[in-house]
Amino acid sequence: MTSDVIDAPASPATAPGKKRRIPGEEGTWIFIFGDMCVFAVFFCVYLSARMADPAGFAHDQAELNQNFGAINTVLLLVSSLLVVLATRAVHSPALKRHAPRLLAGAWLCGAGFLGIKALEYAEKVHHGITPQTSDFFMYYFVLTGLHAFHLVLGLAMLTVLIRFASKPEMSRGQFIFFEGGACFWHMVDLLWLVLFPLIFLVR
Amino acid sequence: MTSLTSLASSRTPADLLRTSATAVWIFLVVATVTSWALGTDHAFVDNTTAASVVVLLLAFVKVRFVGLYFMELKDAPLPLRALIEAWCLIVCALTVGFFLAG
Repeated sequence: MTSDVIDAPASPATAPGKKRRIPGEEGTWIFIFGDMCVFAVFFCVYLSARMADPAGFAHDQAELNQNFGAINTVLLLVSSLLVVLATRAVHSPALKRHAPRLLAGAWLCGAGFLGIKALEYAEKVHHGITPQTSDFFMYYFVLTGLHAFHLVLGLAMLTVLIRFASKPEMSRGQFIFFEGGACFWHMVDLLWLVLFPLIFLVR
Repeated sequence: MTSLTSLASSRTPADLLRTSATAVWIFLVVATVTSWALGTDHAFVDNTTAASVVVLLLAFVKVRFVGLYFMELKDAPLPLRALIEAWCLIVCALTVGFFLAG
């Protein structure tokens, strides 16, 4: 079974010049852009609700801890860089062995994000703040919760990528899945890059 | 800077960092700290509306960079690259518009 086992997809070392190619499968991008469009609608719905009650939203937003959001942003950025490095590592025969550790680091950063998010939610509940408290907190819990759900899916995806990266060789299909999974993780990061300023910072 | 095309000859872990994605990552972290300062009381900007617009614009610049350099859409076929560019432009215009209308 060596005919379908390759070192890298599309043999980039022999590609002439800058050959344009789709990272992962085409279907992955329909899912990723579909998800991004759904979140884009949520951003607009949140802002239109804010238009109806700017004073109430500003009052409730002041209850948030921006430091938690900022730390979580940095955690996701570190995890994304580690996934980029792991994707590069699996393309290099000499460096492939580093990929599982890089992905494990990304996984830990993602888990750290969830830990801080849990701390943040616990702090709110401790102060009697729930989704029923106000429109702002309803949006806060729903949007950050939905993002956290994507992050949990992303962690499951990273676990699969770690398994693939630990194999002595990856098939072309596994390479393509690897790239798609990495892009899904970057999407989780990308959505937070808008959610954090939108909910925590914009006043 | 190296791309995937030269990775076959990479030997040390440091070679993995020799990519434009590393420079982009440093920008993303600096932009995050800047946004945090603008969105809290740590910035020397009195006009919170102006500061918020800058924070939103920075967010979409960051999203574009993640799309182009982390997701590697920079080297994707043009329709796919156009999708991320269009998403950034349209969603940025909508969010800034809704924000300013509020």
